[in-house]
Amino acid sequence: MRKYLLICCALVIAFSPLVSAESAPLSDAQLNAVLANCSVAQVTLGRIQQSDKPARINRGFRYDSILKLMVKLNTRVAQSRIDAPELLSITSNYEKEIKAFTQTYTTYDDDLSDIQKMDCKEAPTDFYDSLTRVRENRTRLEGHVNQIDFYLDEYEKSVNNVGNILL
Amino acid sequence: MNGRAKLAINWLRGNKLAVVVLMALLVTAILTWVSMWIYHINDVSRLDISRPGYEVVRESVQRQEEAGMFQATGKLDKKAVDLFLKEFNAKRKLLDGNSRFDQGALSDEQLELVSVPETVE
Repeated sequence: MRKYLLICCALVIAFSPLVSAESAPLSDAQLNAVLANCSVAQVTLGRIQQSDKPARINRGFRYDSILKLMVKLNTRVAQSRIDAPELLSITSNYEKEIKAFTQTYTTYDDDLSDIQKMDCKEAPTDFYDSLTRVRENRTRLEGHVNQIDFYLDEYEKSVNNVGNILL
Repeated sequence: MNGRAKLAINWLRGNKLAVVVLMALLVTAILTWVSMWIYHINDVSRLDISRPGYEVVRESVQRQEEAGMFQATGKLDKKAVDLFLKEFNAKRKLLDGNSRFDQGALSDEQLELVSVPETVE
């Protein structure tokens, strides 16, 4: 009995990523729409990839620039012997989130490049599954941007608290 | 040493310049391969917009801002905190014009993948 349970668990673990990556099956109408317009969609996806590039570069540069400024303040807070551990923990989380943003962008950009090379007329379902993956990665990117904003808000609040101590 | 090896050594002695040129080419090829590998292995190639075809994208990239006044050393007083917040918010404001990677751009409508209902005659 235990043996069968273990086998079942192994099968579930082995196949769960495949199941989660697949989207709901396409209806005939959707399939026709994909077949008819996927070439146009691929051109649009190329344009989106081009317009995302400056956003990635600008955001990456600005995030790093803000991180350097945060590190400067943390140094001064430590030198002044002010107890503000939350500044350090927020900075650390912020840095981790920037790394996650960069990694997710790499995956997103790779998927976006792959989908443009696909023969979508030959394999419309695969094309739509890949598009679903690209969308999921874009959602993750948006999540990272929101999370980074959250950490910046939290950091600003903590700095204001430090300012109030200094009054 | 066999005859073939002797012949090769004699050829190398007689063609020193050619050997040096070949060695230089070999070293150049290896170094070029290594630098291209580094260029592709990290995100540099992905973010390199100096290549031809990226003229429009290049214009969208913001120029670097000037170094700020806030320093890592010095007395920390209210004035210093205010200066920090001023620079912090100015840097944050520069993020505003950039895409937040929202979902709208990849919707079926935007990609024209919406199924059109068949008209009944």
